[in-house]
Amino acid sequence: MTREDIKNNTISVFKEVFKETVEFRESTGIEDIKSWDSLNHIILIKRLEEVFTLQFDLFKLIDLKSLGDFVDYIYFEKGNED
Amino acid sequence: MNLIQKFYYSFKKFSGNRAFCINGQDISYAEFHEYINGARELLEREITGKNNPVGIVCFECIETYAAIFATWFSGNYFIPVNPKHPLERNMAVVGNTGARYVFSTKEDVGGIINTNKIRLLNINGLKSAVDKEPDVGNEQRMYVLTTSGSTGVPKYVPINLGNVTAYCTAFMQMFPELKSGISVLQTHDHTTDAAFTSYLLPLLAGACIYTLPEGQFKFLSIARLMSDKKVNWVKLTPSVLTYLSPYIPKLDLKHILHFGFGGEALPLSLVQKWRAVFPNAEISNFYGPTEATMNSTFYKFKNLDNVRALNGTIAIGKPFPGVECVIIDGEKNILGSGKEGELCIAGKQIMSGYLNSGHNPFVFFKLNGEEKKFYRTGDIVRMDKDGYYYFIGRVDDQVKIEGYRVNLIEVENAVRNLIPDSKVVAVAHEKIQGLKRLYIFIEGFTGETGEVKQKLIGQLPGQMVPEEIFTVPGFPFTSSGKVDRRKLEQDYLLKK
Repeated sequence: MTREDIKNNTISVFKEVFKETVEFRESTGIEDIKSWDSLNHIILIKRLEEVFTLQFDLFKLIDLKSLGDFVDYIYFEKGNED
Repeated sequence: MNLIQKFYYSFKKFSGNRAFCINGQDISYAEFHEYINGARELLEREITGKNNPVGIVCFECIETYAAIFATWFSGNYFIPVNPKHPLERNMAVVGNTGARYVFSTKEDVGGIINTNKIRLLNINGLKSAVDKEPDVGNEQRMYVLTTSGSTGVPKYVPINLGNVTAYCTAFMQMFPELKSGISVLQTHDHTTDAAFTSYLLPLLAGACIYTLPEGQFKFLSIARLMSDKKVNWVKLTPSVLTYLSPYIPKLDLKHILHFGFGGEALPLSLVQKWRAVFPNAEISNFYGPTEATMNSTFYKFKNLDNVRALNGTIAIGKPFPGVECVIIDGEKNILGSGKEGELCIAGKQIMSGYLNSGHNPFVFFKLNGEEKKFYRTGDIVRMDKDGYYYFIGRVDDQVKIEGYRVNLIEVENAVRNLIPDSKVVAVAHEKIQGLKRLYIFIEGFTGETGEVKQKLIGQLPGQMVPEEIFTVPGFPFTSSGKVDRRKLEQDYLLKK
């Protein structure tokens, strides 16, 4: 999976979870999405884990604060797979 | 010696101990006391007389805790201002409590508070070695908290020194294991009385308080701090464990000695799921409305095999020493064990009455020849034959969203103020299991629901902002003529 594929799929999940009219870019962060609260964070994690068949490390989740951070994390975990 | 003086001497007695660990930085009791002196000096230069309300913008830093004690040591009382709440809400709090002076560690508080209406006192880094005994009378008020009101507008709950003294005395009697050497995790927002329980009692005991960093998801910070093996006493809302439940296999909390819960009903299944993660901890379930000062009852247990629970919810236990409870029916008759009714609480922890409100939440009963004033909690409970209480539900439309009291009528009123003459119904729904959010239904509304939500974000604390707003052609009704919230939930939320 290329980084671009991961980015596009991640954007799709963000649109599905947050349903906001903001433009989703790699720089889009917690401060840009009003509905990005604890509950939606959990829903986001669950959907990303389903879509990319991975499990996030609980203690690294704290550092993921933008869409790009998630793309980098997923690319690191899944980037070498087909 | 009164409670405030006890704190003063506790800070001296434990001067070499760590009082706080904030963002990885240790602060001793001696240094904490210097921060208190600094804020107190500034306040006493600005303000005269006693029993003045003093606002504090509660950023998570040592100066905030110091400002709270500086307010008390100088004979005044604390009004918490939440930097995450909207300006309009904070100004209502400041206006209704009469706070004209507000402590802050930041000069730029735009969006939090309007500095044209108050005098901002900057305490960033402020310390002083000049120290003097607290100047406090027994009638001193300690704080005023804002709660969501069953009358549709917020209520202001004043709590005085006598109330807090009664609670602290009872707690220390029942929890002597909280002492110097213990590290307590403070997870609560300063606008709730749960926060007081996480730092007042440890500071009396010479323990250390770990606070959560700002700007991060709370449940993730809690997981990290608990797992670092730095804290051994924790008090949480059950919701936090619900958030962390997917990560149970990654967590090892064998070092936790005490796990306290409060703010919401505690599901037995949640504790059963988590028990193996903290096998050595004693568990306490605390219950109590803000009006009765922090906690009124508690249930302490270790063994899950014989835990007391009703309908899958763990007991709220027995009253703290000095607290009296009765259960009443709709005609104010006192009920015996096994019967469900409204819980009423008496004792020195009960507030004198709401600030600026004609609402009377009290009822009087003669017990053992003495007439006593009881606070009507609005909570429906049952007592078993051994005297243990169990939470069943509410007499009104109040719900708990992650430990915060939310009266649906207050949220409905906020919408009606934006759309006059509209028919509005609020519904609390578990978006995922164990975690509720609010949803608003407006009959025949033709405007933009997104705009309504944006306006509500500017007025209400986060837990009161609806997740979604629906326009409906008409409301369904129950056979008794009330709007059928369950049907709305079924049709619009469960079918999604």
